[in-house]
Amino acid sequence: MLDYPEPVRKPGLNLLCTPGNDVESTTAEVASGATVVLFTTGLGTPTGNPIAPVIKISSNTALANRMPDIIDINTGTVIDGDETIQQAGERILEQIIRVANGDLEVAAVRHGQDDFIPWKRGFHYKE
Amino acid sequence: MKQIVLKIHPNDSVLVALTDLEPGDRVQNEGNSLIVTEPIPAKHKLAIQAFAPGDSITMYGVLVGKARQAIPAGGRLTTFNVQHATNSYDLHAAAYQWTPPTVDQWQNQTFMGYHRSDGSVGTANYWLVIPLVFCENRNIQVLEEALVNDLGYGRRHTYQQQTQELKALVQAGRTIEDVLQADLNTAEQSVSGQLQLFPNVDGVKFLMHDGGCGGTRQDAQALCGMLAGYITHPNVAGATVLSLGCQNAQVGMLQEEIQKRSPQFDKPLFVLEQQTIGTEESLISLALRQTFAGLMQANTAIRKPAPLSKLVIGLECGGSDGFSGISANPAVGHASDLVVALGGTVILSEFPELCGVEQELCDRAVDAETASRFRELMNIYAQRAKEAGSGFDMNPSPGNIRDGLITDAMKSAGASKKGEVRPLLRCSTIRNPFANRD
Repeated sequence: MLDYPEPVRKPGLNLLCTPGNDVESTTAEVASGATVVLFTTGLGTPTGNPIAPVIKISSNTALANRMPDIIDINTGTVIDGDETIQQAGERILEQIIRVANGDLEVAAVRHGQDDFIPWKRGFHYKE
Repeated sequence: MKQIVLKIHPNDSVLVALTDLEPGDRVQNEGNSLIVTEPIPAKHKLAIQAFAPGDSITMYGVLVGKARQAIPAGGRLTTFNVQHATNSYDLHAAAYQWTPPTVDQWQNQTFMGYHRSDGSVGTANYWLVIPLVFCENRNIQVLEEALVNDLGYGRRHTYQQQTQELKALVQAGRTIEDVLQADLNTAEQSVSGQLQLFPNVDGVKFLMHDGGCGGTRQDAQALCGMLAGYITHPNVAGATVLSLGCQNAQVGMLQEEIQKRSPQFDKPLFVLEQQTIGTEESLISLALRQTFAGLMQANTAIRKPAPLSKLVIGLECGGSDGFSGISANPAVGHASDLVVALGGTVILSEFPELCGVEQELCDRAVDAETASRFRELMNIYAQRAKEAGSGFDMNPSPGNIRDGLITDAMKSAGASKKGEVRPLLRCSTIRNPFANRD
C-alpha cells in the first residue's frame, strides 16, 4: 500500500494512491519504480512515458484497426471470440519480455510520447 | 453462432451488448430469452429484469448504481435512468487463498536488462535532464535543442517536409482552397541521419514541469520525491539537474529524497545552481560538459540476463470503454498474475477508479493494517475531491459515457480487473494478494 510518491519495495500486487488522470498516474507509477507500463484503452489514448516503455492495449478490434499507429496489442480478440482471456494475458507477458529485452520498440517510444505530469495535491496528509 | 451479449458475473442484473442490438432482438440469459426494447449500442448494458426507481443494479457481481427511473427488462441503462452507487465495505480479514497460475514455461526465462548497483534491473538506459523549478524550463529547452539531434536521438517525422510543401504553395500565390486540398507527402523522413554517439544510451530525456515553487511546501516535497524516483529509477543511468536557487524545491530536499530511496546512490548526478553560477552561458556550457561526461559513463552499461522476478509492471487505463472491463483489463489481470507468480512486482493505481470495489481489495490485502491504510487513503482522497467541488461520481468522462461506462462504480469495477484474473462468464476465486507496505 503506497502513498504518492513512495517507492515500491515489495514484490506482488501493490496499490499506489494517484488520481485518475492517466498521465499523472503513469508518471507516478514510474516514479514508484515501474519499468514497463501496461496501458489499456477502448477509445484510443496516444500517451507514453519518457523513461518506461508503455505498451498500449486495445479493448476492441475496431480501435486497433482505426488507430494502428498507437496500439501495440489488440485484445478485442476476446470480444470477437477468437481468443480467451488467458491466451491474451500470455500474449501480453510475451510482449512484456520482448519490450524489456529492448528487442521491440513500442508505439509510444516510436512516436516520442514523453508525457510527464507530476501530481499536485495541494494538501498533505501525515502518516 | 457469435455471442451477442455477456453476463459478466452470475449475480449481475444487466447484460453487456457485444454488438449493436435492435428493438425486438431476442437474447439469451441462462436459458431464458429476453426481448430487447430499444436500440442498444455495442458496449452498453441492458436490464435483465425490470427496475423500479431506487432498485440496485449489479455488474461484475458488485453494486454499480441505482435506478433513477423505471427501466423495463430489455431496456438500456443510461446516465438518465441510473445513478452512481456503491456498497459500503468493512475491514474484516478475509481468509483468501490465491492459487497462482502455472508459470512453468517462463520459470527459467530471463530478460536482457540493465543491472543497477542497488539490485534493480532496468528495461532501458536513459540520461535525464531535470529542472527543479519551472524557472529553469527554458534552460532545459536550450539543452534539448543543443543535444537531441546532434547526438542522433531526433525522431523521424514527416511534418517538416509537409510544412515545406505548404510554404511553396503560399509562395506560388495559391489560394486557401488549394492549401486545404493539398496532397502532401506522407513518407517518413530521417532527421539528421547522424549515428548515435552513445549507442548504449537509449536517449536523453528532458522532464520539464510547472512545479517546484509557488505552491505548498508539501507539493515541493512530493515533487522532489517524485523526481528522486526518476533519478534512482532502474531505467536511468544518471542525471543533470538545473536549480535556480531560491525555489521551494531545494537541492537539499532532492538529495534527501534520493538518499531515502537509494542509501548507496552511486549514479553520476550533476546539480547546477544558476544563481550561484551566474550567466546563462556559463550554466549551459558547464551543463553540456557534465552531461557529456555522464553520457560517456552511461554508455558503458550493457544488457545482461535477469530473472523475470525483476520486472516491475505498472497498470494503467485511459480512454476506457464498455469492453475494457471484459477484454483488455482482465487480460492484463492475467498477465499481472503471471508476473506475480514469477516473483515480479505489479503496481495498480488510480484511486477514483477503485470506487465500489474496496471490499474486494480489502479482502485481498495481506493483512488488516494494509487494508486499513487503503481505506484511510481512499477516504482522504474522496474527502478532498468533495472539498474541491467534485467527487468519485463525476469521474466518467463524456467519452467513457458515450462508449458505455455510465457510473464511476461501473468504470471502477472494470478498471480493477487489471489487478486480478477473472475468466469470462465465471466468477473465479483466483486472487493475488497485494503487498504490505514496508
